[in-house]
Amino acid sequence: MTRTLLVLTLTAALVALPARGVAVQLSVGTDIAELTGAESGLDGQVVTVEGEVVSEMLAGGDGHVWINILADGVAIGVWAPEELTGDITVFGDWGHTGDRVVVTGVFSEACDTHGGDLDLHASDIALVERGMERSHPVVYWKLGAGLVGVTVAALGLRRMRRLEEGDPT
Amino acid sequence: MWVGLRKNDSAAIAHYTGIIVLLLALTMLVPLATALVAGEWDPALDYVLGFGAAAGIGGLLAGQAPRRTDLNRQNALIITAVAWLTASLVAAIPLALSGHYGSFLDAAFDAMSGLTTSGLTLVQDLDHLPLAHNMWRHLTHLIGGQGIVVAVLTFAVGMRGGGAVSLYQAEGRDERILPNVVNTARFIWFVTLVYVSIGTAVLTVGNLSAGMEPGRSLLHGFWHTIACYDTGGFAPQSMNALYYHNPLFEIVTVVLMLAGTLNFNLHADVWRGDRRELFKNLESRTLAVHIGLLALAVGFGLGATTLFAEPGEVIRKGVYHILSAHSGTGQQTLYSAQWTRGYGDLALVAVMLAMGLGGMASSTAGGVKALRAGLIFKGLVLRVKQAIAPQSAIVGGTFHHLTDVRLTAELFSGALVIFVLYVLSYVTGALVGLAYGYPAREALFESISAAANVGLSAGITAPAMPAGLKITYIIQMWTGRLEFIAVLAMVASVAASFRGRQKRGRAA
Repeated sequence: MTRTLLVLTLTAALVALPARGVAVQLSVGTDIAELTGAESGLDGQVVTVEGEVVSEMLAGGDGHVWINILADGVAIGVWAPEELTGDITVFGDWGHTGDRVVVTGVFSEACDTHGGDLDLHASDIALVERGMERSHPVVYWKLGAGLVGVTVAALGLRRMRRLEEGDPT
Repeated sequence: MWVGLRKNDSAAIAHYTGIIVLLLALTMLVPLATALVAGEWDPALDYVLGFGAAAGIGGLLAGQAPRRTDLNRQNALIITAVAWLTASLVAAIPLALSGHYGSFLDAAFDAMSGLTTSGLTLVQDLDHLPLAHNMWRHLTHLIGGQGIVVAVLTFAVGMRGGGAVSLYQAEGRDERILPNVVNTARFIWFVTLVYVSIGTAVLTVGNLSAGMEPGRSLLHGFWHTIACYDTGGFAPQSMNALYYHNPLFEIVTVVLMLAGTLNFNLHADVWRGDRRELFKNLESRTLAVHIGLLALAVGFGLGATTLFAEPGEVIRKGVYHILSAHSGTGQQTLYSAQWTRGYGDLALVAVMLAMGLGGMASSTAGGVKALRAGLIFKGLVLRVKQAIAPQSAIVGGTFHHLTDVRLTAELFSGALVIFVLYVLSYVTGALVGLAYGYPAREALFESISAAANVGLSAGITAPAMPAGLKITYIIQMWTGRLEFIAVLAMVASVAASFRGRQKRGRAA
């Protein structure tokens, strides 16, 4: 009887331990467009998304910050403990492509902590690619075209003045 | 009898349209300065070209007639319609050069959306857009929100007397706050300046405290202030108002949206210290009832989902979006798909009704307008009263809008005509959307949003949408902003001119 109990206990422990381990690490790989599409069915689940960090880091209160990550034209707000964001240094804007990160965290379609906002509470952030400067070559023909326009404007206004003076030419 | 255009009429229309385009050219110096300060050299050249093109087109048109050319009511209507279309095409030039639009049509869509304070957008990669282009997009809200013609009148560019009044009325404004229309235009700008200054200051402080850099704090504060006060809806970030994750931001923008939807006459009364008018006025009462009922409907709709755990969340989301929709602003703290797929039909229909009804007349808001809705309701009540009254009884009705006004059949039918035109526009746009294969609820939502100059989106408005639908929405935004009559007058006059020419040709 004791032996049977011991075997059952050990078996239960063996089954339960890996199951618990998987539950902690399990996250659904998805993309931002799917999360914001209102039909993901992932509300309250741990998800992993990848995207470019854009604009800046904003204060999130309670030792947290907000970062916003962008992929395929759609961005999502990520509420993260400050210590997870130490590696992020380049933010996407006109002059820069921001750092590319993989974020794992709990997804909420209507977050109770943040007034019903759709967001992601990060438990892990990994830098996958450092951001860089973007080059924007200056196209000088635009300057010439602008000057032509100003000349045309001057001619038009001259004609208007001549009409006022009674000269229709 | 339909009256066509004569040569002198065409010259006068071209001249005044040119003056308006010249003024638009001058406003392009603001994004040019922004680009130079921010070191955005190539975007700076987009505005050098934009300024040159606008000045060239404006100069050529203005040169078709001398200054102070006589202007009749018919021409004023046509100028307003033509000027808004021309201004949109000219305003699109620097946007099209930015590399953030798929085509000139997309840039023209955004320019029309900006000037008509709609807020629907086809911009691509908004989060990497230069500051200069963001400045221009938001500036179009400020110029269009006050009214392009109002802007010109403010500076009294060769326009005074009867012509100025006709132009002012043709732009969808039918009241004069001060005895002189130029002074009225200046008062409108004065009120705007006060709200924009206060709104920018408060939002800038909020942004700074959230950790934003000072320059960006100021720019974002200014842009959101004009986007909300002018009930526009553009934003510098793709996440729109959700980007800031900030309740203070939402409170300030709600106040600005409400101020933007207020009739300028009521602003004037409040300014003079007469707050009683706010509570007596048919328009403000109608709007308050609409907002209350529809906020309740959205609340029930959102509450019926299992997503929101706290009533506070439902109120925050519900009230924000009903005010955004009613004022025609289009700012959102939700994603497009959440409205159409996540929150059920009741919330969706409430938002559509709020968009369709719109804000107050003589404000920057769009839609049917609360004054007309109130008039139609009062008129219906009066008709029922008359139907059940004894034959000998004389049943009349009055309402209070600035003064006590007798409800006449003319007022009732005037409100009804514009109401019917808006409904026709909503339905037509939805049918075009359906013809392109979009689902009915999304097609109707987007159509109402375009025609009522709101800017909330069900997800249809995107660079990949068909060109025919883009053109449909452009026409809806244009006609909706001018409340149809100016555009219909333009079409009728052009058609009459062609018919007259054909008749003369046959007679010869």
